[in-house]
This record gives sequence, C-alpha cells and structure tokens, in this order.
Amino acid sequence: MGLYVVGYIWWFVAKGLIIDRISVAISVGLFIAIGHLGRPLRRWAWLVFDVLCYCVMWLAYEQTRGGADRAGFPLQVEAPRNIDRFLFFGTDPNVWMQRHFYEAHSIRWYDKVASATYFSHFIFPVIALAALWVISHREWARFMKRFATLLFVACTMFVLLPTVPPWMAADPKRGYNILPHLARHTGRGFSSMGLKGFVNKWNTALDWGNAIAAMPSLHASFALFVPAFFLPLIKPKWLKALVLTFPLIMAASLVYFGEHYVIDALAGWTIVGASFLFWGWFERRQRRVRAARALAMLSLPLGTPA
Amino acid sequence: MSVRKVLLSGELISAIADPHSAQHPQAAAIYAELLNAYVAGTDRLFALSTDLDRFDKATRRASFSALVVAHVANQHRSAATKVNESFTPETALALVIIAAEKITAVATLGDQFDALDLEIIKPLQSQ
Repeated sequence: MGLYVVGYIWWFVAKGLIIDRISVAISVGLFIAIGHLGRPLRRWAWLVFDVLCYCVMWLAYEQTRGGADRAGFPLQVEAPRNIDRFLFFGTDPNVWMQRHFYEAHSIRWYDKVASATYFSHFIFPVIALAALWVISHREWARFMKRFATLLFVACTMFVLLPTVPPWMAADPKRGYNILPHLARHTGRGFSSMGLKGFVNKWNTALDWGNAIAAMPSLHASFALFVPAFFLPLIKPKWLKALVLTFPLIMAASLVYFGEHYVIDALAGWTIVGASFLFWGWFERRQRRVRAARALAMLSLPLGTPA
Repeated sequence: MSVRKVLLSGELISAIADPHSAQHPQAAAIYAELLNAYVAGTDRLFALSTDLDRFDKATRRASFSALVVAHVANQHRSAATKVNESFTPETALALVIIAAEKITAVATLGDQFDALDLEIIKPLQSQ
C-alpha cells in the first residue's frame, strides 16, 4: 500500500492528477486490489461485483451527459441568471465576484485556494469511495446508495434542463450576451503552483464533458456530499463547522470562476440533502421491519423492554 | 454517533431459534434488548455464518435478518487453529471474527468470553 501511495504521488507530480474516468477506475481498482490482498475469496467476488456496479454507474453518467444533447430539451439560458439576480437583489454574483476579486495580471492567494478546491472534486469522492471499500464494505454500500441517487437525479436534470453556464452565457463568441464578459480562469491558481500537467489534463477532460450539464453543479454536490457523509464521525463541533465550510468555499469558487450560477450549487446541495434524507429514512424503516419480524417470531412487540 | 458492534454467540442464536430450549426466555430477552438498540441505530449485530448456516432460509429471514453475517472463510479457520488451546474451536473462530470485524461486545449465555477484554452481554440473573 505504501508503494502504491508513493507511485500515486509520483504520477501526480510527474504527469498530473488522474482525472479521466478510465484512468481513475484503474487507479482505484489497483488501490482496492492491494487493500484486499490476503482477504477471503468471497470478498474478492464482492469486489468484482462492486467494481462492475461502479463502472456501470459512471458509464451511465457519461452517456447521460452526452444524451442531453440528443434529447432536445430547451436550453436554459436566462432562467438561472434571473434566479441568481432575484436571490441577490439584482446583482449577478459571478460578475460581482470577478469585479471585486479577479485581477487579470496577478494571481492572488485566494485564486490558488479556489483552484485547489475546484480540482479537489476529481479526487475527494474517489478517495472516499476507495478508502471506504477497503475499511468497511457496509459503509461503502451506504455511501454508494446516496451517491448513485445523486448522480441519477443530476443526470436526469442534465437531460431535462440543459443549462448554459455563466462563462458560456458571457462569452461573446457564443452569442448569448446575457452577462458582461467573464474570465474563465479556473486553472490559473494551480498553474501558478507548478502543476501544469494537472491543468492540461483538466482541459482535455473538459473537452470530453458536456458543457451544458450545469444544473445541478456536481462540484458543489460532491463538496457537500463527502463531508456530510463523514460528519457523524466527527465529534468536536468546531471541526464539524470547519468541515462544512468546504462546500461553501467550493460554491464561492465556482461562482468566482464563472463555472456555475449560485442556483446550480443550491440545486446540487438540495439533491444531496434529499438523497441523505431518503436513504436515512429507508434504512431506519428497514431496521424497524427486520426487528419487528424477529420480535414477532419471539412473540414480542417492537420496543418491548427486556 | 458511535455504533457498538455486538457478536451474538452461537449458543445464544440456537437458544433464540429454539422455543423449547430452557434458555429461550433469557435469550429472547437479550435479543429483544439488542434489537431495540439496533432499531435505534446504536448497535450493529453480528453472527458467524457457521452459526446461521444451521437454519433454513425462512428462519434466517424471519428471525435473523437484522444480523450482519460475518462470513467464515478458510483464512479464519486457519487463524482459529493458532488461538490459545484453552478455547473451544467454536470460541476460537468467534475470536478471530471478533478481531477481523473489530467487534467490542459479545452477547452470550455462557462464560467462554468472560476472561477477554470484551463487553459481555448476558441474562441479568447470571451476571
């Protein structure tokens, strides 16, 4: 496992962060396989099944992103901008943030923080998934149920509500012209830290992606999802609060970079919340049903004091 | 919220499943208490696959679907042979699973786990 970590760090420094789905799948597969050395065959069978489920989930996600183009639902251009304007009393948050913080010829510390936060999207959920698989299959399954629900709802929305992101809406070449020009400077902070390979990979990944899959923001969703899942394990309240600042920083970064509207982030968070609420309710119900069934066999009603 | 991991011993499971057993009332009382904690989300209940495999599917589904099945593999059996000889083979196997699953409590009717650094859950009258 130590060798794997060294190899991963070397790859990150020498060739950039692994972003594309296939490379991610290979790197995660290797990590999990190493973590399972010496475990029973049954666990390896689970591993194969789970990896297949994981791959099917991502493939479906990629296909749906592309399918949004073919489905032909009307493109949302002004609606998200108008909602943002309504939420911020007539101000465009993207424009406001770039006017107040963006400097074309210098890179400030917050550019680096925002850029690092943005790119963490490509590794945090994957690290969480891989670590959970190795540590606790049960927790992995809990994570995956919520995660797959989030992706399913998000993909459905990508098809039904193809949405122009702010940078595109502001790009004169695209012709929408509903926002003043916005700089799309997402990779600048990372480039300034000497991680050019990282940014190059990201540019490639963007070419594969569906640019109008903006509603909801998966960046914002994942940034809330991972901390929210692990929140019950964190005891100190100050640490809980600190962890929950991460999705806020992510949302602010997305708006600052012109990648998303505020409403995209809010929609993503709402879906995360709904997914957690639904599965929490479902799991509680499942526990009650199982316990009631067992107690019925003992001829005892649920809640019987022992 | 931390969840307590509790292993139900083989003899406890047998007593739960057998209403004619003299120990059934005590076992049922422990199980009811554990199930309530399970519903509350404070306990996660485990049983060895070797203990559950003795029952048919319907019994397992009706009485033991709340339990996480800790599958016993050859590695576990092999490790159990290296456990101190003062333990029975069944207890040794349980100890291996306890270590593998990081279980901290055992619900049982007997005293085979008493000497170990584990929380023991027993019927009140025998404590």
